[in-house]
Amino acid sequence: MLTRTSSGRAPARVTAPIRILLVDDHMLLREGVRAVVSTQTDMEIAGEASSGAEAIDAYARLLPDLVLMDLQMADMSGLEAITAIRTAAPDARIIVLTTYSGDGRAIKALRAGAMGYLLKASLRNQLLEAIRSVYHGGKHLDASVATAIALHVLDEDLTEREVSVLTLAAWGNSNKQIAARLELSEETVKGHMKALFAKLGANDRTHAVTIAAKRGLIEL
Amino acid sequence: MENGQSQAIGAWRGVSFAVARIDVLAAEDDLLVVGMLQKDMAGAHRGGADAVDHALHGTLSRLREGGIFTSGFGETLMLTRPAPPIRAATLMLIGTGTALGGNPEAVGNLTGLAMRAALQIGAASVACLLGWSELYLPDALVAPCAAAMMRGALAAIDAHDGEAYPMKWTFDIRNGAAEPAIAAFREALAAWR
Repeated sequence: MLTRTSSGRAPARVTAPIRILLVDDHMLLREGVRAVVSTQTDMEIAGEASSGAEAIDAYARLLPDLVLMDLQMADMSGLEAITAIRTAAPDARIIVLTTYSGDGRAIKALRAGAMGYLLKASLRNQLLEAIRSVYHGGKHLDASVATAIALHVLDEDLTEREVSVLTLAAWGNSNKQIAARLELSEETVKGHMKALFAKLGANDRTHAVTIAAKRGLIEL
Repeated sequence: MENGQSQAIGAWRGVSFAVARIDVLAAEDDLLVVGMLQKDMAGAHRGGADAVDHALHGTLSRLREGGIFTSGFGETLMLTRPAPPIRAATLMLIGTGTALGGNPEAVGNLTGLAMRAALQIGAASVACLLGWSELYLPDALVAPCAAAMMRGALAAIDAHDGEAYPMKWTFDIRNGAAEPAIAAFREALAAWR
């Protein structure tokens, strides 16, 4: 076998570098990515944003070639930002760079128009590889995420109501309390619980909450 | 590369070409390129994609069924760090659409796509199992398809923005038509020079 690409060599470029908008609310992460990108001749950081709202504004202002997007940010989730950016610019190329390996967020991000999904634990050269392949129109997934997606992509989705019910259950609410909060009958809440147990393959509400949180189907 | 016996074809601008019967599980290349049909067709042989999908417990077919990767013609999906038993560092799926069989130009275009991706990510070794095992090629089309694949790869190298650097590129050969394919690869490369 020849030398692997972990050498991180960058193809010498004659054309303009790939302009990247970096979106993450953690400065340390942004600094790390900027340091990695700065070693490459074929890409550059065109701008940075620390929130979803800033990302939308920066995208419109900078028109970058590609966005590296975190999912969990204070004011607006990365998913909402992806949707907003892609609504305004359907050809926007976005790679999610996140700590979440569960299928739930990944499927939502890809269906919202993200073309890549990488974990922050990815190696440096995997990030560079993803930037190049997505810039050129391909999709790029961490294989462990692809496996998680494949396990559940054909499952029936939880409804918005089921997600609301389970989120309230995760915060310790009884069925009666959930019913009061959502202005439903207790019987209806029990029905939602039964349905989501079946969809998640859960034995009880604790099990359901654990599965849903792990898969990124509910936000805690 | 842990593949069948490799035969050198020649080199162009730093890329050395070879042919071998590629074992998708044993290939330890930087990049393993596999063509995938848009849907399973009755009696169709899915070849490399089938073997990879089986090794990954149906991941590829479920991604396709779930619309994450539809395998439309020219659609690509890179999977980094695929799980064992796949040994390649990155797996590249290329959608071959519904009916690639017997269209040399289409096979050549997809080969060019694979070469461009390999150059873009700086792969040093590539195993390309794009077409042969996916296609039931009539004998008359084996050589034209091989030549088109080589031309597609060479055109992508020439179009690449940057300096050439060493890469080993292996085309898959099988279907019992290795000799005409090897000859066609060599002739296409010689004609390109």
